[in-house]
Amino acid sequence: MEKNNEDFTRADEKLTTKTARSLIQKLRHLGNTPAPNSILPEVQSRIKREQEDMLVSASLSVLREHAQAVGRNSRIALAYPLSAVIEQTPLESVSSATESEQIGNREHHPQMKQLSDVERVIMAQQGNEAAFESLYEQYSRPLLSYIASMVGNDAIGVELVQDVFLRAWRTLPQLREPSHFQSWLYRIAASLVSTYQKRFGHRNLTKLAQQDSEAELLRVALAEVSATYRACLILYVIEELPVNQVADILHLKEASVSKYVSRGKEELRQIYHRLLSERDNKG
Amino acid sequence: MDSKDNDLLILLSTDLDGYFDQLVLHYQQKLYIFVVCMIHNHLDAEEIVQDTFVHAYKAFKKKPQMEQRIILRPWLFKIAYNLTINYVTRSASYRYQWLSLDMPKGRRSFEETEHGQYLSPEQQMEDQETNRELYEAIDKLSDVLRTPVVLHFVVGLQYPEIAGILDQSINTVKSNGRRGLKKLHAILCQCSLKRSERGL
Repeated sequence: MEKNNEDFTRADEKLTTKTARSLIQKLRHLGNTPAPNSILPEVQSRIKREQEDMLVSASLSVLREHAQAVGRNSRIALAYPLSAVIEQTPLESVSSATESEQIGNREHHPQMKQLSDVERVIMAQQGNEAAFESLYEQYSRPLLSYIASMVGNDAIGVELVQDVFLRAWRTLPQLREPSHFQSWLYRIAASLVSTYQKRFGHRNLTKLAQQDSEAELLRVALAEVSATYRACLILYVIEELPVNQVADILHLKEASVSKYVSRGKEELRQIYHRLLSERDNKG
Repeated sequence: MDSKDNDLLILLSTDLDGYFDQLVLHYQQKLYIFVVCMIHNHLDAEEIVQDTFVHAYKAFKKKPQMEQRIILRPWLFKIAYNLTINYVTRSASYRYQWLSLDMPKGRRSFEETEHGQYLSPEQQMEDQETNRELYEAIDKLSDVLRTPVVLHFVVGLQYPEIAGILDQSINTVKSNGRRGLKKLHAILCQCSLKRSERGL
């Protein structure tokens, strides 16, 4: 019996033309197994998501450029003598200054540029206005684009930046760790923005919604993203601050920041998509 | 490359979003069976096929002139092959997930054959049994032999196309394909022998 089996194996294991053909036929038949029906709809929905992501990331880069442009323009508006901020002079009285004068003002303290942030902060704490002014020049632009994105309005952003520096000037002696100046400044900004929003809500948004350029629409969408995610998103994506600084500014863990950024992007994507379809329906 | 592929590429270059569904419909079945034979897991195979199409879409989107430079069929299989390799390296335990006999949800059964004929329940059972044996035998092949066997005999790609996908010479692929077929035959014979012994 055993011998028979062995013979049978040897004879059958040899791949003759005939057996090969039948095996190939079987394999071909296996190759015709139908695919699940769910592949196409799944691929369609994933591609749709992909398209929206591409749209949002393209729009975010537009927004980043916009923020930088706003920063450049408003540097002119912001570059009045700091004494105006400290004495709380209204913006109008200094806005008439020509650009050359402002540039002159900015270059008033060239030696300050050579000092490190910490040295300038310590000098400002001792009451050196020139040192504070150079800090102001350095931080007002990024601070403005952060605040303007948070409230969704450039003019209010400019005013809030002034408030931030006014408060910073007054409370500077209380800053114990000069190396944390930037985070401290953003923390003041964050608290002022939240006070502003509690008082005035989102009433500027309707006005903005009427302007229908993509960047504006995205700004409206951004202003609707929930506050925690929005702050992370703006600081990380638009201001391009490193994660550890964002975490420091917002009193969050670094892991939470990256999580909030991705959740914020998702929320932004949904809101943007909704606004876009609303606008299309109106159109 | 057949004429259908050529037409599809031309259509994709004119309207990617409009004709991408056509691409999916045309290739999903072959890609799916390829990945199933490679990883032996229906659900993950579905995922990998979806990934393949999404990758392809992104590539088309990123490089608009892409259509002129590729041959569609081997290109798609190359993507699927790379994704499969990634999957296998990532999940080292894939070998222990055995193929279930039950149909995954939403799947048509084998009764819909290529000629549209319905098979009797006995034939269906027999068919399923043969396919299951084949799946298991293919799974027992080594990686080197399995890929050319699946791509050539199951999916029906030409040897030059497979050589391009695997970055090997045509002769290597041919001899591996042939050796794989022999090995597969031997494995199937051993299986039937064991079964007949058990039957006795």
